[in-house]
Amino acid sequence: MIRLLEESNNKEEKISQLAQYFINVSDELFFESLLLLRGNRPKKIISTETLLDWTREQNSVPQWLFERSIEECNDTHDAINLLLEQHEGEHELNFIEFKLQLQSIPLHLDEVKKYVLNQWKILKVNPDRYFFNKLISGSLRVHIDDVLLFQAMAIALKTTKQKISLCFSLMDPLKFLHPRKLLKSKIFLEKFAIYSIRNHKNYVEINQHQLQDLNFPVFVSPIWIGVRIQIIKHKSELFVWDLEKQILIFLDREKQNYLQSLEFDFVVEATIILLNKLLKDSQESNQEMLILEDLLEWNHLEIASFSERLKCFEFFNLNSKQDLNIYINDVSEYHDPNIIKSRFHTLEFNKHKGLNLYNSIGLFKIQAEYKKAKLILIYAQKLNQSNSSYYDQYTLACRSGTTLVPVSKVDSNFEFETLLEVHNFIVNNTVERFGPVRSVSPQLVFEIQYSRIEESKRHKAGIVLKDVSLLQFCLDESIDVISALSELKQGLK
Amino acid sequence: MGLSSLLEFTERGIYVPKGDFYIDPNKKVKYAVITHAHSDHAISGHQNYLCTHLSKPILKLRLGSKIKIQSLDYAESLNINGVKVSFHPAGHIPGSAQVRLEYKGNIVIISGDYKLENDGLADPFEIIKCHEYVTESTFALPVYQWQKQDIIYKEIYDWWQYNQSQKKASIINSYPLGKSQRLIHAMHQYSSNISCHSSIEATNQSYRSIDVPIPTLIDIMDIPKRDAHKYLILTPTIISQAYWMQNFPGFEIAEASGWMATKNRRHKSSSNRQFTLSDHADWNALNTTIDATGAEKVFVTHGFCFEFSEYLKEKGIQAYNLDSILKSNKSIAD
Repeated sequence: MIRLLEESNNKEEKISQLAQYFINVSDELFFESLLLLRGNRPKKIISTETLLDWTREQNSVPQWLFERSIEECNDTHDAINLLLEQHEGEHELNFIEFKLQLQSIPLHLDEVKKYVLNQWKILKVNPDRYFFNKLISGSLRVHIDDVLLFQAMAIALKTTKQKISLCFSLMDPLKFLHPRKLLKSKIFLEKFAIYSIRNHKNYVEINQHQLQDLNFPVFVSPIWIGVRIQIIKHKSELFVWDLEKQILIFLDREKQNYLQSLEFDFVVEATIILLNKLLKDSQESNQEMLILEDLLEWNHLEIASFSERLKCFEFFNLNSKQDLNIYINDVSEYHDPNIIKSRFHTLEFNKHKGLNLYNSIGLFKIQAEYKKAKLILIYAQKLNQSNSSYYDQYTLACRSGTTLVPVSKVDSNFEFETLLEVHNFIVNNTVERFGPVRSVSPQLVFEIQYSRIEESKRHKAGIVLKDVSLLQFCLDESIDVISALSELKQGLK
Repeated sequence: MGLSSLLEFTERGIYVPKGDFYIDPNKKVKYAVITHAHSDHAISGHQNYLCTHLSKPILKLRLGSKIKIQSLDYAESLNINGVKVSFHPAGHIPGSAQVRLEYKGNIVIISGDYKLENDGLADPFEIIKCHEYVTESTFALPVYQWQKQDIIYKEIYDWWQYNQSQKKASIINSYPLGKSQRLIHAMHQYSSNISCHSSIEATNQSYRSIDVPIPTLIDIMDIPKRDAHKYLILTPTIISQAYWMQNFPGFEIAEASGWMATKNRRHKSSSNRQFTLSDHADWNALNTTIDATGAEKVFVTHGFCFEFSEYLKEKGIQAYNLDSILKSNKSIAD
C-alpha cells in the first residue's frame, strides 16, 4: 500500500489503488494501515544513527563521502537504502509480519542488528527496504490527506465518504482518552475501529452499543452538533455547561432524571454529537450521542493529573461504577470536598437566576427574562462618524424628581424608515451641539427592554441598564409616562 | 610538462597540442574529435569534425548537413600530426565512443560518457588499458547504484499495462537521443504498440539508415483515438498542450532518468511516475572501470568531479578535478 502511495503522485490513482488495497487486505492489516495513514508512527526500535553506523559497516565509503551522499539525498533513510548493496531481493515488506518478528526477537542490540542485516539482504530494494528502515527507526510517517483516505474507504466499503468522515469524527474525540502513544491501543482498534462499518451498515447503532458496553453514559438528546460541554452534578442539582458559548444548556427531563439518579457527584467534560444532522440522507432519528472525554472530578475528588484520569477511564472500560467508586476512594491524596462548590462559584450561576429557557433549533439555551421600560431621548450621535449619515446612537434618560438622568446608551436597531424618522426628529429638535453629539429636546419617548440592572458609580443615576434594545418610539406620548429612577432601582433588589 | 603527457586543459576544452585538435570542445575550433552527439559534447561551428560512423548521421541531423565531417569505425585508427587516434565503444548511446590517443607509446583515453551495462543497441563498453584516463562523473556518488535494466523495463511495462487497464495512454518523457531509442528497443520486446514524438522519430530514422535495429513505429497522428490507451509514447519533454495530445483524452506521464534514484529528485519531478534508468555509469561501474584501465592518472570531469577525484586520491590513484582546472584556466584566459 505504501509502495502504491510512494510510486504515484496522481490523486485519482492513489484513491483507486488504496480502495483496491482496502478491499483485499485482512482486517488486522486494515486497522494497522489506517493508523499509519492517520499519521501514527510505529514504535521506535533503534535510532537512525545506529542504522547509519551499520550501513557504514556494510559500505567501504569514507566518512566524508558518506555524509556527502546523505546531503545529496536530503533524506537519511533514502541515503541508507541507496548506500546499501543494490541486490535483487524479492521479499516484500509485510507490516504484520514485521510486527510479529519484532515481538519474537529479544530487543537486544545484537539480536536486532542480526535481524536488520538479514532484512536488508532479503527485502526488495525499492521501496520495501526503505520503508523497513523507516519503520524500525520509528520515523515512518505516511502523508495522506483525510479526504483522499475517506474517498478510498468509501469506494472500498461501498458507502459514502460522509459516513466514513462521520465515523472518524466519532473516533477522533476519543483521542482524549489516551495518551498519544496509546492511541493505537486495543480500545481504539477493537471498540471504535472501522470494523463496525465494514460489517454493519448501521454502524452508528453499533458504536452506541459499544459505548454502552464501555459503561459510558450515552444520552439521546436534541442538542447541537459537536458541542463541547461540561456536566456538573452536585447533590440533586445538575448543570450542563456549553464550554464554547459559555451558556447553560438543557438536557430533557428523562436524561436529567437519569443523571440525577446517579448517587455520586461529578464534573466531566464531554462532546455531544448530533448524528442525524451530519447524516442528512438518514431516515433514522435520535442518532445523538454523548461522548465523555475527560473526567475532572468524581465524588468530590479532583483527579488532577492526566494519568489519573486515564486510569479512571480504563477502569470504566473494565468494571462497574461501583468498582470505580472503590478505585476513586484510593486516590485519597486529591480529596477536597469543596472542589465542586468552588467550581460552581467560578461559573457564576448567580447571574443566571431568574432566567428562562427557550428552545431554538433544538438548542436549549439561557435567555434573559426581559423587562420593559419607557425612557426619553436626550442626546444623539452618529455611531460611526465617518460612515454613518444618520443619528443612530441615543442616550436615554429616566425621571428623577423634576430632572432627567441618563441611564443607558443604546444603538439603533430600527429599520431604515424608522431610523430616518428618528433622525429627522433629532435634526429638527436639536437644542445644542457638543461636537458630534446633539442635545435633543426631551420629547421623544422610547420603549425599551433590558435584561438586568446593575449598580454603577460612573453613571449619575447610580445604576445602568444591561442588554438594552429599542422596541419602538412613541411620538404621541409625553414625558410624563417615562419610568422613574426609583422604579428602576427596584429591579436591583 | 603539464598535468598530462598529451593533453592540455584549456578554456575551449581538452586540447591535444601534439595533434593540434580538441576533444569535445565547448567553443568553435578548427578540428574537433567528438565522442558522441549529445549537445554537451558536440556543438556546431567547428571547421572539422571527427567521429564514429554511427555518430555521423546523428551529428549531421543535429548540427546541419553542411558540416565537414570525417568518420572512423570502432578501433580504426587515424594519425593526426603524429598522434594516433582511434574510437572504441563506450556503450552510452549508439555511436558513442571513447577516444584513444597514442603518442610515443603513451596511451590516453578520453571516455566521454559511458555505461557498462549492455543495452543491446549501443556497442558494449570496451575496457582499454591506458596510462591516463579522462572519466566522466555524472553519477559519481555512492548513492547512485543502478538496478539491472531488466527490472526497470519490467516496472515500465507493468506501469504501461496498468495505465492500459485504466484506459489511459502512457507517455514517457526521456532524452530524444539515446534514452528514447533504448526504451523503444527494450519495450518493443513486450509490445509493438509504441509511438514517439517526431523529434525522436527523426533520430530513429537516422539510426535506421545505418542499420541500428530501431523498430519501425506507428506515427503518433495515426493512433486511433479509441486505442490510444494501448500505446506507449515517448516524448522529449512534457508537452501537455501539443496538438497531438488531443488524441489522448487520458494519459499518465512518466520520466526515465538516472536522477530519479533519489526521493528528493523524484518528489521534485512533475511527472506521475519516475523510473531510474540511466545511460551513464553508476558509482560501482566508474570504480570498476578505473581499476580495470590501470591508469596512473585519472582526470575527472562532467559531474561530481571534486568528490570522485578526492575519493580516487584516497584510494592511491593520482586524480585531478578537471572541471576546477578548466575553470581556473578559463579565468586566467579571461
